[in-house]
Amino acid sequence: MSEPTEPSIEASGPETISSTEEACCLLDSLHLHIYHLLEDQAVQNHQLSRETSKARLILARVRLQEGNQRTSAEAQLPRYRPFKALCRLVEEAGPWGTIIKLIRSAVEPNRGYFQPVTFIFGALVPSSLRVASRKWEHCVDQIVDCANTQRELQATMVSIRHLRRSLSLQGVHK
Amino acid sequence: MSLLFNTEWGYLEGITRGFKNGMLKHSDYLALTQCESLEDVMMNIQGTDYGNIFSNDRKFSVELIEKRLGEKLLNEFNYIRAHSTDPLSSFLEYIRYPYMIDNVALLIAGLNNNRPMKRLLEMCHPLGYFDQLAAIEVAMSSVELFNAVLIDTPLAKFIPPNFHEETFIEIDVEIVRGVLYRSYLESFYAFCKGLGGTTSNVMCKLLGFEADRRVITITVNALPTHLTAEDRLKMYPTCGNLPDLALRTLSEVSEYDRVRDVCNFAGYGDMFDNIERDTDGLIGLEDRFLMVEAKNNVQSYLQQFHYGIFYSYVKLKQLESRNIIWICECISQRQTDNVNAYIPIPLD
Repeated sequence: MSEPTEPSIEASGPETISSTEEACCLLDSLHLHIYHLLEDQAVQNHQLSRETSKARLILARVRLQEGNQRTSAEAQLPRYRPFKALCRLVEEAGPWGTIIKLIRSAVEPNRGYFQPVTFIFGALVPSSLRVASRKWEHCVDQIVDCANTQRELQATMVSIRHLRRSLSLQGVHK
Repeated sequence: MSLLFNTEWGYLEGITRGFKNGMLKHSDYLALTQCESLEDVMMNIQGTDYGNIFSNDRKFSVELIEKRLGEKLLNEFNYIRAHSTDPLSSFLEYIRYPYMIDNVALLIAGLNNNRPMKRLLEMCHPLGYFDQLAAIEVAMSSVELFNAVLIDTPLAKFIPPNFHEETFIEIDVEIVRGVLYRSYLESFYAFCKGLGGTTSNVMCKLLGFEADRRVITITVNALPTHLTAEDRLKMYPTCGNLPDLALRTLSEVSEYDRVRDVCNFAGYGDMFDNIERDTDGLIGLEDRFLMVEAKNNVQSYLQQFHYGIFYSYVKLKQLESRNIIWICECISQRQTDNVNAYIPIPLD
């Protein structure tokens, strides 16, 4: 897929006709790109929805398995005890704008990077809760992908608007 | 013994057997799994022995259903407890101790996280309430909790002599719970053994299985952690069927396959086999233990004139409650494909 580039506004003439034709081809490519992005977005949303459903079901399963033997999660959530997050979101420049990147740090208790599930729920976390935790972490990765697709979609729509405006100024595209 | 038993506790045994006969059967579970909404579930539950427990409720949620089911069990248990005499009343107190331990663990975790005591007390399990729990409100930290209350509570006898105030802050709350639970289970086992007769036979079998289950579950859950062999051994109850050598070996294993090998040798290898059910791999080790526990508890009703039926009733009723909540969760999450993955209780 060719990268969308800013259209150039030329004076009318043979060069203008060929640049107009290029601009129209570019507009078509951008529209096609939007459809691909919409498809990607639908697939990613569907995958995210499936993953969160599985994770919620596993959490319900943990409640069935552990019953009253587990302490309420609300009591165990840490307050006033700062600890370093394992994930950080950073924005980087991309070909079509800024993209979000998820950076995961390694678990290093000596430096304050704790594994959240054991830090919050104690040393004897059941295996099903660990599985649920991994699924939620995967959900976070998928959310970042969805956000990037959404950003690319919006950037493409803005490019189309700019291109249409410049073409209409040339009196070609209404 | 039978004659004496009926004189003192025959009525309570009859009542408990009646409660047990009112538990949900396979047909009731079928009806629940075919419900399409929580309102349908509540209507179906009201058609069973639970009765009109939702009469004053308008807003429907899984938490509300869980609360009302718990209240039903609490009322039944309190009725039996109020009419019991020693040693049955001591036996019933032993049934409550795990809930007290859970409540104390909740308070420790909450206080370590600076949660207000009032909010924590609302989260406590009602079966685990004891008189001094209300006085705990004055404790602002887990050290104060240890000093002011726990020494004079029913749980005092389960606190190891090497525990002190700072233990509650220094050590993981799950290890504290594990150590208290081990002490409780061994004490309960010794109490039942002392009662003798059918109660001893039935309860020692049930508690022995519980002890083995605790050992295996703690081992599997501790595998990905840095818990030392010594920490694990502190939590392993010794009243089970696993020999000392197996306990020492399990405390040192670091791989799942080694746990399986030791359990194969000790007769628990079936727990690790795959069970073919269309449940997306939801069935795990815990579920298999729950199935065997359910079967053992139902079998305790095959004998008469023993206290084991009271213990089994509480366990079965709780499992039933968890099954209903699982069905409710599947319905509320619109994931009815897995609604049949509850733990079957072979009452039929």
